[in-house]
Amino acid sequence: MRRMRAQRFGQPLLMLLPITLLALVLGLYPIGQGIYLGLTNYRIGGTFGIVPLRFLGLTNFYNILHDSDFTNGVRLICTIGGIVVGFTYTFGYLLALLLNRPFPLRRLFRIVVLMPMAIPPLVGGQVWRYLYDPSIGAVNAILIFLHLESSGEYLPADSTSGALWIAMVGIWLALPFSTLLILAALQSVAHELHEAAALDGAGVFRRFWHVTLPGTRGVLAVIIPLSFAGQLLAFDAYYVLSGEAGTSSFVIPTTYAYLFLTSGLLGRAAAVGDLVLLLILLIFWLSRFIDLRDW
Amino acid sequence: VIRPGSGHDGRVDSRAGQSARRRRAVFRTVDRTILILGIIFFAAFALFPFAIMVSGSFKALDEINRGFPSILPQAPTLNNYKNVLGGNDLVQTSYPLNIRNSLIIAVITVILTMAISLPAALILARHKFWWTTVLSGWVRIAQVVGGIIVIIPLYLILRDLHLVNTFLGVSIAETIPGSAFGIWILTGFIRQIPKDLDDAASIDGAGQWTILRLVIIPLLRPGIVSVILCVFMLSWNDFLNPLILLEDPNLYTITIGLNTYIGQVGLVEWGRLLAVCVLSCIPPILLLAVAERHMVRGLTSGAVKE
Repeated sequence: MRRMRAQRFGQPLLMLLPITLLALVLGLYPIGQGIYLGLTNYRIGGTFGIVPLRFLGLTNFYNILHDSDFTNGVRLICTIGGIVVGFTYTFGYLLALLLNRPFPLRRLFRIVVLMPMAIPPLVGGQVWRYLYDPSIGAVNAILIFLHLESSGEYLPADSTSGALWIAMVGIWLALPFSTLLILAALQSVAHELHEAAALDGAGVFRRFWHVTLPGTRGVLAVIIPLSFAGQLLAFDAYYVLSGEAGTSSFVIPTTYAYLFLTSGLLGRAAAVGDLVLLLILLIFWLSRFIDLRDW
Repeated sequence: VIRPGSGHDGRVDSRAGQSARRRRAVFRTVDRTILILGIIFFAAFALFPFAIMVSGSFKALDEINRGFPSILPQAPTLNNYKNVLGGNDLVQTSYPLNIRNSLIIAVITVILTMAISLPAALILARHKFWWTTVLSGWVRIAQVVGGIIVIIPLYLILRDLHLVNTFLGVSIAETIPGSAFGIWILTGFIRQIPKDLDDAASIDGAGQWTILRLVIIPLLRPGIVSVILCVFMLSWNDFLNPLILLEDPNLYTITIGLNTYIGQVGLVEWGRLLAVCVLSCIPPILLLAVAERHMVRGLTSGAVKE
């Protein structure tokens, strides 16, 4: 009896032990400590001397929220995130519909369109920085070729259209994964439903509207807030795109935090992280009210 | 099968049948045109930066500095690659070494991730008590909350464990999102395996480990392959963790190596930089080309069916 009980509960618990340790020690504890560090003056000096920890309360948050670099950064990344999510899901849907049907060389096409997902985002950012270069970049050459005289400025730094140019990089990087998730959702829509609708005389568009779209809504409802949160935390590509630290052409919260990190102001950097976390929680909370499943 | 346009009794030439057929022909032409345009559009959008990157890596510096008279290099040169792969006078890290380091870290990350995810996924898929609910919640959170939010505390913990500046430390940091992803995918897969199989084995006296080894793993191969590949890419492409956790240039990964090139302010050697970019893209793209079918199938059956 005792042995059986040990087998029923002991073994599952044992098998959950590694993930439990990981979740507690390296998952939840760091999040908690990050929140705490954000309330302190923790810093590491140039010689890794650690300044004694002092509790500051909300001072860091006050300073950050009064820094226009941060507030503009939040506005910028929200704009970028909105554009990226909007485009990746509309175009991702089209691309997924395309990939969901047979045509010659489909496998090659699938590899080609998935390629941006496989490479390091850092490389993606780097290549786009080259494309956007005001004097030697291809995008500039195209703009001149189209007689759209460009300002001779670095495009992502542009105060009006900059967000769009930055978002283009985000779209390029994020489109494959969204497409895969939508494709997966498309393939999970029961085949019988389509056949039944076709027998009832529903055309392609009505079948899409009444069968495909409702069938994939649930998945979209889950992954759209996830993608937006991903944009808020995106670092690699945007960091490269913004240029060298100090002379950066635009600031978003993650690069803003990284600046504090490199200058050793860990408490301040952690506070930025806390604010981003708060923003993410806000988005998940808000996304419950626009639940796509309840249409 | 009753097709519109072909009469039931073989009389195909009725007027209604003809117009329906014509409409179908028009529809098919429009449909095919949209398909082809879509393929061209999406392929061009995905490929354009790659084309520019590859061509730039074969251009000499003065040709790059002349802007864009042509996409194809006019005087192709291998010098960028020679400079990158041979000894390097610009930065203190060598590129072949970076590739080796990235490979080692990726392999450790994959092993750690699988060791943690496989047993956890089995239990989370088959059992339900309060702790599994908590852990499932964490698996979702860990896929979103990461990066800059946790990197500082993570650095401090790993420093206390003397794991800063080691491959293992970076791998452990990458295992957090890796195992969250792995558990997410594998749990979906295991739920599709009939529970009767477990029960049958269990009646024969098999414990959970035996069930995992003899029943689940053999049936889980596509899922395992797709998780291994995705986690390998996740590790290979990771930038923030090695950036913060590695200090010794001899331990730098490809992304950090690339970053040191970028960091050379005022000295943007675009040709070399793009050559480094191309070299960093080759392994993950090869993996994608080999295993793209597994990855799509893995996500399809694992991720979406909650």
